[in-house]
Amino acid sequence: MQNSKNIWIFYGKITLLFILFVGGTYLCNLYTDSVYSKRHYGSIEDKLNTLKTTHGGRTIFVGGSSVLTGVNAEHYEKISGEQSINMGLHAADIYDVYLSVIEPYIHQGDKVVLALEYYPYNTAWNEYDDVGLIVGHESKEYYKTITLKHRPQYTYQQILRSYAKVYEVAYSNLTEGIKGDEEAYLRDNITKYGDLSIEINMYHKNPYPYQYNLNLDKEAVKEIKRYIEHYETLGAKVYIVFPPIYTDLDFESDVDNIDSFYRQMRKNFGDRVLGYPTDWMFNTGDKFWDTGYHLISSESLRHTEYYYNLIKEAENLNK
Amino acid sequence: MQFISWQFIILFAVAMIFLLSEVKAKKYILAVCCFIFYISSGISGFVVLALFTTVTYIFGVITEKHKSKLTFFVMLVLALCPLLFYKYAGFVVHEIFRMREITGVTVPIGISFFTFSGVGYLVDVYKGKCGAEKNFINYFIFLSLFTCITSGPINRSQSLLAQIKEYDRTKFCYDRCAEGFRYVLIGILLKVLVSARLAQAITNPFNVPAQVSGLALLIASLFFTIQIFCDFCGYSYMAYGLSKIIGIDVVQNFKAPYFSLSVTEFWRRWHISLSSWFRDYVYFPLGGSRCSKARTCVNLVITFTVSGLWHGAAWTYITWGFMNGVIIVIEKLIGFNKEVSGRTRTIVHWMVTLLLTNTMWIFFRAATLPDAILIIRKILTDTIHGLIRLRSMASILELVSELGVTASGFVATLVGIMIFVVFEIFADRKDKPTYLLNSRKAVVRWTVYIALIFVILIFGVTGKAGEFIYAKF
Repeated sequence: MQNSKNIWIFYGKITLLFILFVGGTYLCNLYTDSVYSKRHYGSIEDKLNTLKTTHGGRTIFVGGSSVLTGVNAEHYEKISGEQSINMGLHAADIYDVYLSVIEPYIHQGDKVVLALEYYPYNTAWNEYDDVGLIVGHESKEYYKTITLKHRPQYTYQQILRSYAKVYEVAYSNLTEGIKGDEEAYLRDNITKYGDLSIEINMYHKNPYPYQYNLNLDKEAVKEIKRYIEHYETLGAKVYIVFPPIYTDLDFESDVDNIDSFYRQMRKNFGDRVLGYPTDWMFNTGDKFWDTGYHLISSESLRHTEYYYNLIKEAENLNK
Repeated sequence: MQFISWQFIILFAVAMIFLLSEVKAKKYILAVCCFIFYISSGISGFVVLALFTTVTYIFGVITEKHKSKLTFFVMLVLALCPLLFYKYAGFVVHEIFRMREITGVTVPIGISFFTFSGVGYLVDVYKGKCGAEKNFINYFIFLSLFTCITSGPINRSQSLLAQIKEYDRTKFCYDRCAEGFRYVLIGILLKVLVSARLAQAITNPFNVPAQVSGLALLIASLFFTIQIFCDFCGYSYMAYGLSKIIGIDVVQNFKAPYFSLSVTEFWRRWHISLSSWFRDYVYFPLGGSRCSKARTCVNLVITFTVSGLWHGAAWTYITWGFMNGVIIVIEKLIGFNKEVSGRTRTIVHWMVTLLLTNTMWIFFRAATLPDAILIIRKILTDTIHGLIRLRSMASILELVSELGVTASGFVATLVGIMIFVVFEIFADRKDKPTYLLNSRKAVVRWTVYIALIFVILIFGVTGKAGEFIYAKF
């Protein structure tokens, strides 16, 4: 009798602690939401709203911070006469997740320009253990489940919440510790076009020595191809371009290395691939501000014109 | 299935309800839990476990009946084959024969641990220390106990099998369950708050040591010394606590190892189940210390080198094990491992031991041997320079960013280290890390429980950074 009374007391206490744990998790999530809504990642909500409330025929630039800083959608709109949106998100290289999040808003007549950075394509990155830079690609157990067929179950808030702690590391690894950067990467600094409106002159860090060989990951290619095919069935056109980068930032900028990678890209993605990797590869830091992927404003305008010319040429060839 | 996951919580909750009640045939319920836990990691892994269990079960019965040395040796080699294949074939092919690396082979979870449990059992049966287990379910639970299979402890047949045989008669005991729960809570704290936080500050320096200053590397190496302990000890406390809740006593794997006064003592306090296994099944069969001094030294070096190899198929682990062996031999020869008296001598012994273990951990953690040597070289040549440069907040922030963490994350890490030190002091002095949670006043106990839960939720790190290091072994 005493034993059965004690067991119920034990279960009761464990249940109470469990409720505290669940309640605490809920409170922490509320806190996380409010923190992240002000930070740069909160801007994903604004960008998706722009996608939701505008119609087909847009040029949508998709990628990480090299798109956020290296594309000026407002300028693109002026020179092309087409509505343009910058969907770049800093330290959000979960391209798989990101492509699934924007998928419901892609319409007939849209041009989706994938300007992914080099490491999502790369085999070695699958083994890279650094939570700081790649948050989704190396956390396969997270993004593997978020495929097209599962996408309706996930809202961007759930994704953000799941990744909250990991995003914090990713965000901070790339931005904190450098004077002034906390002023740049805030939601309020994103314009209605999705561009980052602020840039602070900072010293540019020396790049790491090359960390991987530039090779295409079969899994990455498979995933990207699925999205491309899906977007094209929705009536959109997809282009793949190369990001601006400081030479030897992540991989050895050897001529053969790059050319081999380029040929693999063309083989897998065909005529969708525009430009050449070394078009915007520099060995001087004066074109970048805080990292070797982020162009300064003046270079960003030039870079936008470069993408415009590539896309225009591709469209003329297709006519 | 990780301990810190919803799937495990649900499995354990259901298991607890049945195993703490008065139902009959609890053993079968426990066996089903072990099966569910293991099969969640993949069918191929389970097939390996099932085959190993069946084969070693049969071997045990044969060994009891026929004490032939040759037959036993063959069975021992066969029992070790799955471990040798899954863990070392790739290394041998790539490193020794210089052929293309074997890829795509998934190592079954806990193979190192259940293999050693099984091999230890066979040796014990052969030596007559225990009889062969005739009940297959008992033997299956012994090898695959779901609270221990991922990363140990390595249980001995004499203690665990005996408990499993009597398991149906286990009754609920409130104090035992409460104590088990406290160990689980501390384990989670060490793992999620301390270890996972420290992991963030270690990854960058160890991955690209050439790009990081000597001072940052020194801090990273000290952090790793704490991280590997908190990670593994955190897991071990959880395993111990969870086992205790369901009525099974497993061996405690740690006894405040960083309070050791020699590397010899360190190995009596660190990963106790593994070091005692190697002592009993490798060192003693080699002759132990019952031979010449020179032979004893060789036996020690061999034992520790093999222990290093057990941790992984890489030259860094082998070097780490070898270094441990050599240092223990030196301690033995100069008498450094003898009992110490006097405050000054104790402090000197403690600092030297900490310095040696910290240096050896660099080899354990570094990606390659050249990286380990580079790290040590940079620590020796660049640290003073780095300390001199630390004159302003900007330089401190730069150092923190070299570690790859935020300023606030670094502060949270330091808080975690303080918590670790407090628990370790109680583990050493009171022989119980749960001492602080054992207050007689319910108000005090519950305040501590609630505070710890919120500290874990707010400052803890889960996700990829939350995977256990020793699960890789």
